[in-house]
Amino acid sequence: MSGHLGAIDHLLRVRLAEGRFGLLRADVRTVIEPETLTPVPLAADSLLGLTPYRGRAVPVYSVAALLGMARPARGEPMAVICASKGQICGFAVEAVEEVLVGAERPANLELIDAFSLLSATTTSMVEGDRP
Amino acid sequence: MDDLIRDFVEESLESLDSAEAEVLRLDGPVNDAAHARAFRLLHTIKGTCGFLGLARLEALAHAGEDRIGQQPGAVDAVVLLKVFDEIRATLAHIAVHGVEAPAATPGDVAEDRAAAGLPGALVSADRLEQLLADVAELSMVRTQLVSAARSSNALALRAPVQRMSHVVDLLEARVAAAAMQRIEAAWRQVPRVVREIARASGKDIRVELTGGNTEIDRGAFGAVRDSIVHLVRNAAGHGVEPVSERLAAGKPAQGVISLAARQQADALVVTVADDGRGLASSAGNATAEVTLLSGRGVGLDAVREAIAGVGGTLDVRTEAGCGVTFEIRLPLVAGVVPCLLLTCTTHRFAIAQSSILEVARYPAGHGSNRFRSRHGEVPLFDLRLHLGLGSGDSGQILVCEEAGLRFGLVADRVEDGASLSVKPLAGSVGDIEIYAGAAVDASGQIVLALNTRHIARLCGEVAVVAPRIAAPIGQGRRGLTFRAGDARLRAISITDLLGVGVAGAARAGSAAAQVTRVLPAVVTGAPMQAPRSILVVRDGAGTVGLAVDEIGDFTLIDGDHAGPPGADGYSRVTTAGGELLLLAPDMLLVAERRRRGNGLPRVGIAEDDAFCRDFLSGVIEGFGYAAEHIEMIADAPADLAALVIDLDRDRDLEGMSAFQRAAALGVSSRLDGEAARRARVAGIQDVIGKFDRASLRHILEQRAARSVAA
Repeated sequence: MSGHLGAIDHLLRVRLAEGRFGLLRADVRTVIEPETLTPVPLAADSLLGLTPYRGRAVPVYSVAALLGMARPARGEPMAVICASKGQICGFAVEAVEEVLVGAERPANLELIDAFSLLSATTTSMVEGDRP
Repeated sequence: MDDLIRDFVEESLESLDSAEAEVLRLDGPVNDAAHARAFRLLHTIKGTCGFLGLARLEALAHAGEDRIGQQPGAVDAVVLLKVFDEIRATLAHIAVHGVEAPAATPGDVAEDRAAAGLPGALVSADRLEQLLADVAELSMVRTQLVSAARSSNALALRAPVQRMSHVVDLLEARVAAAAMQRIEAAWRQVPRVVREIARASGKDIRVELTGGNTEIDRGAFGAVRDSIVHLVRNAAGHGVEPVSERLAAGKPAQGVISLAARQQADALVVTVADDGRGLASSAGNATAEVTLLSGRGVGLDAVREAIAGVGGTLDVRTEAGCGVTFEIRLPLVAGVVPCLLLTCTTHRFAIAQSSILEVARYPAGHGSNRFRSRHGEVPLFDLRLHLGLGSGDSGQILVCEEAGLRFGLVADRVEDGASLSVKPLAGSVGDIEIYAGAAVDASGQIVLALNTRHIARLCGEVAVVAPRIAAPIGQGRRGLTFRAGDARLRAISITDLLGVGVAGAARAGSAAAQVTRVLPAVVTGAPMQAPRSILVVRDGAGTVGLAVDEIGDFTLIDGDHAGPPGADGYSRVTTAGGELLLLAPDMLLVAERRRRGNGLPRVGIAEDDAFCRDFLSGVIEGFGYAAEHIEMIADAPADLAALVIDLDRDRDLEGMSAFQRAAALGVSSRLDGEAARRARVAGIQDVIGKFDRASLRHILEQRAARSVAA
């Protein structure tokens, strides 16, 4: 989940139930508060639903669920919209706190590569979670 | 070094020399012919690079091409010559090392240019993607604004809003067009690849390319190009047999590899077909079979993966001894697909109209998982059960057909139609195969699009394909109403409709944008006043637009049918809501062709398989004949110059009249003697291979000459 992420310039510090994490700013397009989340039958539990963003239906995943953590009691109202390799996804968190520049990154802040979390769930879903 | 690369380097250096001469000439006053020649030369280098995987060089050539392509009047010769020098240096490096120079040596010019935002720089895919997204959002806001302006009392708003709406349409079309590329660029190198392989292996292979002007989304271009080259290499290397083997099998000495691209309502379809030995070897030798299979199987997974990576699918059809057809289907990423919306509880789903045959009511207390529809008995697929949304003893059944498979899709309710831009889903949810993607509708709501091909596979049953004879009008069939020429209410069945568009401002990538010919939807009566909309329908291998005055709503077109359509292409139907005129596009087009009296000899095609029919009519029209589809051989008109009959289908050939027999020409993709036997029994003189264009042309010429003499 964390680990080698290549060159790191900027991070977005986000809050989940179990602490604070850094998301790579290079992938981040924007942060939105989804008004509606359209549910998708058969989808994994980590998918909160689809939300319209710039003419597209963008899936919004719970970062906590992807990490196998408890979901924040106060909900996950913020969605960080990220793009990578032509895919656009939203990652829901409890709050987005601030933007950190590489040099000021606290040593204990764990980094998340959100898209790699998705490919991990893909595998498990193909193998077992599908009805 | 690879022979291909050596040839390429030599040829490119030659091309470069002449391109340079052209540019030096451009330094003076620009002359159009010189400009065109220089552009072509760069284009050739670029195309070849792409195929050989020389990405750096390709980008360089592309940059040069943009430079002279976009500014014909003001070409900066000095900059272009510099690009040429870089290309020459890169070529020299390849000549010595066999590969491109590693990063940061020559070659970075194009990227540097793009980064610096200089004129003539490449537009990066990312920026294009953002631009497309902005325009999509603008378009949605436009829809809201137009509807708000319509319902408000502010009359002063209406004209400017209409004008803005039109500009947004144009903008959308232009941006979408920038994201598209002609597919011919992906297969430009194919003839050469085949020639090289044929020469090396002592084979004789002809290449046929059709539909090169079909446009493909830039994002999918690379994957498709690589896949095509891979499949063609396989076909030439392992599929097509050596001359001696072909002759022994009773085939023409020359093998054929044909590539074709066409746009369907909901997909771009690219086929790579050969007439070789097929995947299942008829040699009867287990070892040979394994070698053969593995030979062709190698890399096939990679191709499948590459195509899946851009949201497409790869299908294989093969018949022992008759070759292999690979079919690549890609979603129309920039396209808008006409869909029907349906609901299950609170969930909304969309299904492409092109796959719907009929809508029926779910019979109360229907316990069976099969249903007898007007299109034969079909297996039922209850969407509610499959998606875990409960079940119901009521609902509606959509009878669908996909890839030759028919099934009944059960949902709570069928709602209206909508034109949607369906995009693949990102992340793990994109792996749920039952969804083709999702779309945001005009009101900003999300709709999940169903993957009918996947559902058809789940149903896993080949339904009996009954010939569609003027499909009867029954319960639940839907149509789109329109007016044309007069005040009478007219309608077209959604199963006949590929799309709708605004005359003169079609959305790029949409069905309407593919239309090259527009006819009035009404052939009699007063001429129409400036038609505003077009209905897009199938016309042989292509599409045609039917101009109408006004498009109305979706409606049920059930009712009492007052006989078959008349010569004007319309039949009267009395529905619950009143009388309407139902359009049969085939009839209208046949009538139009006759009336046009363009003197083209008519060739009938009796072929139930849509793929083969499209192929045959495309080829026949290319030869200069008017092709038309014949449903029943017994109904084939007497004035046909020729009647092409598919002998691989089980058809009643015995009852042909003398003139039909004289016009008949059998085609078959099996060369096992059965086709010839059936032809002989029926009195058909000529039988040729289904994809044998040369023989087809020859025989058609004979028939046409004979029918003129008669």
